[in-house]
Amino acid sequence: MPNTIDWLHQPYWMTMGPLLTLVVTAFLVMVLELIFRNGDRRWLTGISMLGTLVALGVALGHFNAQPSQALNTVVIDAFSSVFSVLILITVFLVLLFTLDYKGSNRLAAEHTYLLLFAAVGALAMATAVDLVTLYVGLELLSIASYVLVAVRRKSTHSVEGGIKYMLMGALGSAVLLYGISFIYGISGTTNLMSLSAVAVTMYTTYPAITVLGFVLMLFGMGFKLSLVPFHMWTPDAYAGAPSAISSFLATLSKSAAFAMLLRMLLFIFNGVADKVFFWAGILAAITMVVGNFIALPQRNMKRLLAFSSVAQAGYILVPFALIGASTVQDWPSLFDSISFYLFAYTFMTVGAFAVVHIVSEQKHTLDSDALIGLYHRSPWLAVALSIFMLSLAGMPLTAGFLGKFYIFSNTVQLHTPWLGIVLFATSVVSFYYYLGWLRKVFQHNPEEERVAVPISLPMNTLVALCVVLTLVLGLVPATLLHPLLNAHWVY
Amino acid sequence: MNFVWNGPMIAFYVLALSVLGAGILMLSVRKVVYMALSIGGVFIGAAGIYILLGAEFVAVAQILIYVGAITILMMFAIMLTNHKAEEEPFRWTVRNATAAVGSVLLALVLLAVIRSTTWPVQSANLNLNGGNSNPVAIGLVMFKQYAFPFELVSLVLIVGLVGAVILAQERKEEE
Repeated sequence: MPNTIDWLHQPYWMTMGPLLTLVVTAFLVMVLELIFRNGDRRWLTGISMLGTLVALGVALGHFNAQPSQALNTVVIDAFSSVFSVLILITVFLVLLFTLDYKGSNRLAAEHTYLLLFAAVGALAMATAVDLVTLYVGLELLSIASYVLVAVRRKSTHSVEGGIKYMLMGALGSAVLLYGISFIYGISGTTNLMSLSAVAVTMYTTYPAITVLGFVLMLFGMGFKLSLVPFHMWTPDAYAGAPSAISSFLATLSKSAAFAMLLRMLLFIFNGVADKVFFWAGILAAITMVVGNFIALPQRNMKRLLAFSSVAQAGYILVPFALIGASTVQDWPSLFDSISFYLFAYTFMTVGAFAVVHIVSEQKHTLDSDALIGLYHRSPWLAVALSIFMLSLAGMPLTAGFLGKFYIFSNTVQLHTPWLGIVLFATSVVSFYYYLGWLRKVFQHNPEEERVAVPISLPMNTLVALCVVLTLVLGLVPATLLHPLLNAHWVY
Repeated sequence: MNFVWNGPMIAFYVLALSVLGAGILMLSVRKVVYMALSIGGVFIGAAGIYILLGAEFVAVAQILIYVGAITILMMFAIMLTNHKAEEEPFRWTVRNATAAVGSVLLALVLLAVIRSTTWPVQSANLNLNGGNSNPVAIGLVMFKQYAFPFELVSLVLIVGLVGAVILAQERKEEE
């Protein structure tokens, strides 16, 4: 053990930098919220956004830092930096989103620091290399999300969504822990570094238990990622929660869960990737097919976005399956595909939820008919929504197209074309419902008075940010891909 | 399988059967109060199994916290809220039948995997905990190896508390 002075000088604090910054901000906001009880308290959100930006700065600084670790638990490597940056950007966007809830529509003020605590859990999931820490991070994120979904407790839909999410989430946690307990039982350690060293021995000695552990861990995380057939809670939770929270569930929870899944599976099963990872492929194929087909008849805008997010999770799972068909040299390319797609997915999904929120607030309905004639009421929103929809569907010139293209080319390179074909075919199906919205947006509604859609400043900023980021990633992908390709991925 | 009929083995079977019995009872009774009582039975049985495994400290903590606090808390919550809820009597529906088939299949797969594995046999003089007693070993692990998740758990508790307050508190600002 280092002595006290040494310990204070350890770069521990830097390694945990983004996480600690967010924790401090969250506690600060919590205390301020207790002191100032009256008036419009949206400035608390401003403080949270400021803290998130500071944390984002620290996380960006980690890209140039040497890989390091603190307390055998938290690491800096490209993997953790990329996902930390993604998580912090998402939190910033969601906080901006919540600024739109004011007056009679406001959320309980506690949502601000609950979001920050959830983000702390997400950061722990992206940076930890210990199964216990990963699990505690997951629970921190999940418990905060259950509360956030049910935050409108006078609304039956909100509470119903929260309860369904909590029950399914608890089931997912149980399955995940059951899998982890098998792995811990045969290896005797929860540290991913030690597990990675014994991965091959573990499989040769206990093949059946290792495969069982893999499947249970994948399925347990499948609940959190709303993969089919563990997706039943998704539409209810997304439709019941306030739109800002739905966008949070669709993006931040998924990015963090994908980061955790990738880190766990890669470290524990790296030596036997070709034996077990095909399970992820089967799950990805089912998710893509079912997710896209259930989305077809949806009329409720948020339910449609929920099923679209189910399908998108299937696309992101494809590179996971490819890990089994590849050698270690191909892994960085697969990590690029996963993180690029997650970045693109985050911007277009948050943007789509924002537009849906503005439209449904004006029309007081979530039915997609509210979109009819949007172009005549607000050309700017109509164009923005078109960009998000085309990107989600995968039209060229948008980030979504490039994300899918990278994943597709991975499947071809790694001789798993059937997954690529499923990806391509289901994307074609998805065009039907994404473009169905566009048809409504540009449709002329003769009976309607043309009342301009009121847009608040935060929402304008949010939609503009998402449009710009979606287009930049689509037109100049090198801005993100270049750092990703040069990254030294795993500690 | 060769059964050795010694004391711990008999104790294990008695405990395991009572845990299973209490679990099945919890699922089959239809009154919430009885459910809370039978889950207390599951907790006590699990504590007995911890003792058999040499984890006395965990067993005592299990009784203090799960049996003493959580079960009693549930009972109080049910009684104070005057909760007379009863579930519908069980019927065989398509959904229940599918769930039953699924559970049996899962149990069979798990059983097959566990039985097909040759588990290592521990030597009798295994030095557990590096010579420390149970509480000392737990303390050392918790504050050295798992110091970080230990701190993180405190955030989980705060989120749980705040969440409970948000969801349960009567407040004016929402009206």
